[in-house]
Amino acid sequence: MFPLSRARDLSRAGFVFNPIMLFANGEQGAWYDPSDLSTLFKDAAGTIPVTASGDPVGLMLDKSQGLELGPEVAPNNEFTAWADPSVPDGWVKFGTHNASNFVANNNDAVRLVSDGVFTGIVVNDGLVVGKTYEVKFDVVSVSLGTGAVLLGPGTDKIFGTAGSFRFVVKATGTAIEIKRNASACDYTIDNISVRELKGNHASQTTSSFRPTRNDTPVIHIDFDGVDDFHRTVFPDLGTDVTIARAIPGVGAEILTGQTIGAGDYDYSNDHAGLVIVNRALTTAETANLTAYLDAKAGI
Amino acid sequence: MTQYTNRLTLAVPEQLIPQANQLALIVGESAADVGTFTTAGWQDAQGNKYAVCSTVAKPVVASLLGGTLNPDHIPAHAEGADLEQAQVALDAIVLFTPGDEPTQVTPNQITLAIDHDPLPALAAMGLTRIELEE
Repeated sequence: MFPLSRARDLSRAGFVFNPIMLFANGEQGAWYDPSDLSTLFKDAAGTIPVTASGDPVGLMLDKSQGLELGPEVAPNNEFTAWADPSVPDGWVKFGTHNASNFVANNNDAVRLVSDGVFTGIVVNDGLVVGKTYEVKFDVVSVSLGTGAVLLGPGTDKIFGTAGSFRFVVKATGTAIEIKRNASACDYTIDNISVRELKGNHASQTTSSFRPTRNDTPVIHIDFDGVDDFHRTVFPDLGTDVTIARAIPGVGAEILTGQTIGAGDYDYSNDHAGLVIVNRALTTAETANLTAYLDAKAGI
Repeated sequence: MTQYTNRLTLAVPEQLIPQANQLALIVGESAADVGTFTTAGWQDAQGNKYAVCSTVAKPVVASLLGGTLNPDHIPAHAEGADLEQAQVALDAIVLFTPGDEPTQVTPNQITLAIDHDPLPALAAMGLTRIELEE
């Protein structure tokens, strides 16, 4: 991509290497950057940001695709269309719907009322299982109980107060659901947005398996050597994968000719930056990446 | 400053894994915590097997030691957790102390080290990893 002579030219012109350049031609892989706090979350669902050294890291976003968002997959997501007054267009009712359990148009927002039985609305087949989505919505009011938005089993984002909510979650089903939570509720929700967050993000759902963000000697992801690991679900990256990491306080380590097949890829080595790309690098790219990772490693 | 100011390292004998997982579910932060202890991949000198874990934790977790779990304080993610089983695990916890005669694991207790480096603590408890055969 950048022949050595071109790299030298760019260097003279003030060129600053960015690992995203390694993915400019559609390459697959990942770029994790622990120094970028906006990409780190304590929980795997991506609802609680990492803020301090010592915090667990349940989700680390991949920056190789520029954190680009895909198109909106929630239909009628501002709930302005209601051909049937009991359900917004593009959505269908599930569970019990009667005089005590219903959905209604509340100023072009969804009011959901439940006396405790299971009720809600859903978009079936809007998602791809295993893909990561950014979910945003506004809760206009809550007068009773709690509600939940979910993208499959175990992904419930529960809310009990008005406000704007955002979470990042890996879909475990194909449906987008808005429902009552555990008991009776009466709330109004609006402006739901569900968009794929492109990339191969690393996560850990089990609390004790989460590594921590550690700021000493440099900002890095610290695995305890007992049970911590991050899991990424990769497509088949083939047999000529480059795995490069910044070893805190040591420098760059670049492994070539690695094999990563489709499926779960677990990683448990401390790093201040990790780049995985499904090809060999050119000499210039290797030099640039080494310099970048050395800097991240603090040498 | 982080709220996760403790480092907890636990050794759970094989027969207490189900109970320990119920406790992990209740004191943890995710429904997936019911799978905290899966493989008994460590052993003591007598060949007894243990599952281990190490994690950062908020001080409230250590404050539960020696107490009784309150059913009114079960977090939403742990709805359906078996409180009785979790209490069995909590009651089985023995605090690790280092020194010339460090606390050793036994098959009828869960050994907990607070704020120790995990690998040296597990070694001091008398545990070694069970190496998988090729």
